[in-house]
Amino acid sequence: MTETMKAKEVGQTVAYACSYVPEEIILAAGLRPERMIPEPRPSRADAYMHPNTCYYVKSLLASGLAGAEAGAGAVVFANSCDGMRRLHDVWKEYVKGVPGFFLDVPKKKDPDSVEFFAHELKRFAGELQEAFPGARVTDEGLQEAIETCNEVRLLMGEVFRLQRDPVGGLSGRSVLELCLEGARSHPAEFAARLKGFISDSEQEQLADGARRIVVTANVIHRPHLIALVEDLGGRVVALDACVGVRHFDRPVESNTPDPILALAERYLAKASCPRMEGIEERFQRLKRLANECGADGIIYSTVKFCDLHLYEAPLMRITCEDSGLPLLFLENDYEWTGMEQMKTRVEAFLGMIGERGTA
Amino acid sequence: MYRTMLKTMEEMTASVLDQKESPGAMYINEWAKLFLKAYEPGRKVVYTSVYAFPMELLAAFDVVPFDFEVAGAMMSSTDKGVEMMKTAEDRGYAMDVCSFHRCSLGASFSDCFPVPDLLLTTSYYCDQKAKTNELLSLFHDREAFLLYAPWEITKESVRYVERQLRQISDKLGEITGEPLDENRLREAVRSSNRARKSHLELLEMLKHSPVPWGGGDLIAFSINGLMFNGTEVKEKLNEAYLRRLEKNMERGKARPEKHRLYWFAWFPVYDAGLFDTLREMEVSVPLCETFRVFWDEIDEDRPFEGLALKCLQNPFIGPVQRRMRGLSRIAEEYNLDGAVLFATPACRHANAAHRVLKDTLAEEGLPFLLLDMDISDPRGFSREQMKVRLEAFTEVLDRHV
Repeated sequence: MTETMKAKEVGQTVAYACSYVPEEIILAAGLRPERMIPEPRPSRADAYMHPNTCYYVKSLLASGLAGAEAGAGAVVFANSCDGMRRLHDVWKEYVKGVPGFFLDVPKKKDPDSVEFFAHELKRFAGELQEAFPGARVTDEGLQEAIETCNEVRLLMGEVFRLQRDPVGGLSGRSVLELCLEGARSHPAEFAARLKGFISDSEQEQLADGARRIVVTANVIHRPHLIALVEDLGGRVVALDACVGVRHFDRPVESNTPDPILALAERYLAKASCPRMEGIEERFQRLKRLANECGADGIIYSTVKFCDLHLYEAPLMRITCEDSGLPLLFLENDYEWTGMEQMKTRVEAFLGMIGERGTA
Repeated sequence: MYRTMLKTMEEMTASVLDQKESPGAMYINEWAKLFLKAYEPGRKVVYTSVYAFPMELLAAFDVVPFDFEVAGAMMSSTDKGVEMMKTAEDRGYAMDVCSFHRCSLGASFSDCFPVPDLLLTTSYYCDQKAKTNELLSLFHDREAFLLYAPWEITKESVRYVERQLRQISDKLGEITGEPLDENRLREAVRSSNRARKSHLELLEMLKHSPVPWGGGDLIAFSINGLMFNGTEVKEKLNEAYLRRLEKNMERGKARPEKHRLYWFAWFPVYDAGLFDTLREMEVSVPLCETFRVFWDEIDEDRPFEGLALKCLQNPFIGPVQRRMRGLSRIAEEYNLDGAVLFATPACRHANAAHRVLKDTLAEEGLPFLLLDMDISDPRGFSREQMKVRLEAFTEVLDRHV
């Protein structure tokens, strides 16, 4: 962490709930960005949100209602999806003491959308400055924050490379743990931690030979699925989730005259989640990722009532299978109950891949 | 394909068309004509979202608008609906996917819907419409355009929407081979403004007690009638309804009403008997949120900006609190006793924050019912359960009064 950044840190945290919220702006304001990873307790929000709402969204609300976010100076919700948008509305009414900001993120990345998003980001920076006395978002501060976050992205790229390494590597569990640690850490501290982690990991030379699985998902905040795959003899070679590969995809262009515009461009152009238009592009990216990882199959995991994933899953399955990549669709309730059922399905999937491999 | 749809349409409209002079028959007739036009060879068909897309822009081009949700609703009002949903389910679309969309996807896979030349939709109301639009664009291998409608009305958001509408206009020009005729767009806007005036008159009449119209017919017209915005048809329909309502009021032709309800969101398109049950209980629905005039008169000299503003003023865009705007005044003017949110399970944007609606209404002293029922999938529907819920709510209303 640089001296400037240390000096700026005022011990205040801004929690956020979506990978489309630029941490750089929070950092540049001298605040600490922290991803919201709530305890899984969706049913505790049922009195406030319709039971048919995404279990992650409801867990976020339950967390707010229980006061678990009380340490944060503010929370930021993005217009990620219908559920998240309504979470902001409900939060505003019923969660006291932690103001909720709302960031409107276009669902497409053409130049007009980038320009509009840049305006939104400027507005967001202004709101932070108003809400946190002493917070100032300057171009210089943004530049420094962009460099810090880019360094994290670069280092995580190395972690992901190690994860997919055919002769050495990292387990999916370790990588998820690291991703979650990153979600809760100051990016500068996390960058330092990653450097040590990578140098230790590079000395490992693990045998391989297991079935190689790419897990593509929305929110994966607990290790259940990954542990299950690895305990059953598979190896998770990539975690294409919103705390994983997608979050750390592509750097923000640095040293530009308009860093906010550079942020808007990067966040709309990064590896997309199904909230964005571009199913075809997502499929091509997933196929590329699977090929780079030498994957034998894909597990498409989603939290119950995530419409965005639910709508894309059937087409993803067909297109992946047409490309010779078997795909298993699994839903979870964010609490990861019913693991025995899931075990049967994963076991069968790995078995099927094994048979394909030997046929 | 055409024959199947014609038969479906015939089944659906037969009873209404018997009442030849009624505005309802006129509306169904116009709607059926437009719907079937989409199947005529050589027509340029544009998929759209009637509830959020400014239809006036389409009215300025020689295109046939087609809303697959509206068409799916029409199918679901016949025996064909479940068959189409099953077709989509067989292809992997889960029961948690909105039944409207399962039906529309199934109908497309079954070659029952016309092939679009362009697919337009808006980011609101829901994620699911945009997603189905993109899936159908891939299925038909035709271009899709998502009109992103931002959360708030600001100078930047109006400009952003305006620019997107101009791009859409160019695309419409490309598919029709005729660039936009600005005069035609201005005329569409003028027509829309005239229809807005008659719409306001209709709203005035709905304040009358007992209400001369309302319930399912009102809600259906409030949504499907948007298909004609910017055309003479919409003006004629509004005028026809005005005349009919005047007559009904003169003749005292209205049903007795003990309670008057405000209606949030949708209604079942299959034969659930929901509004018949309410009528039996002497409960009327004089106003639904989809029939409110939320937009200002559109500036005909700056039509793109005006249409962008109209789009952004839609109460379903932005925070849920916007749906409650003006409700205190409306409750008084329409003499409302309570409100119902028809909650079809997959409609997260409409239902997820129901508690905010409930508590805001409670501050106005209005009871609220969250009525969980599917909009178009009758499997799992129980008339008795629905009746029990409505009876219990009516008891609450009785005690409240």
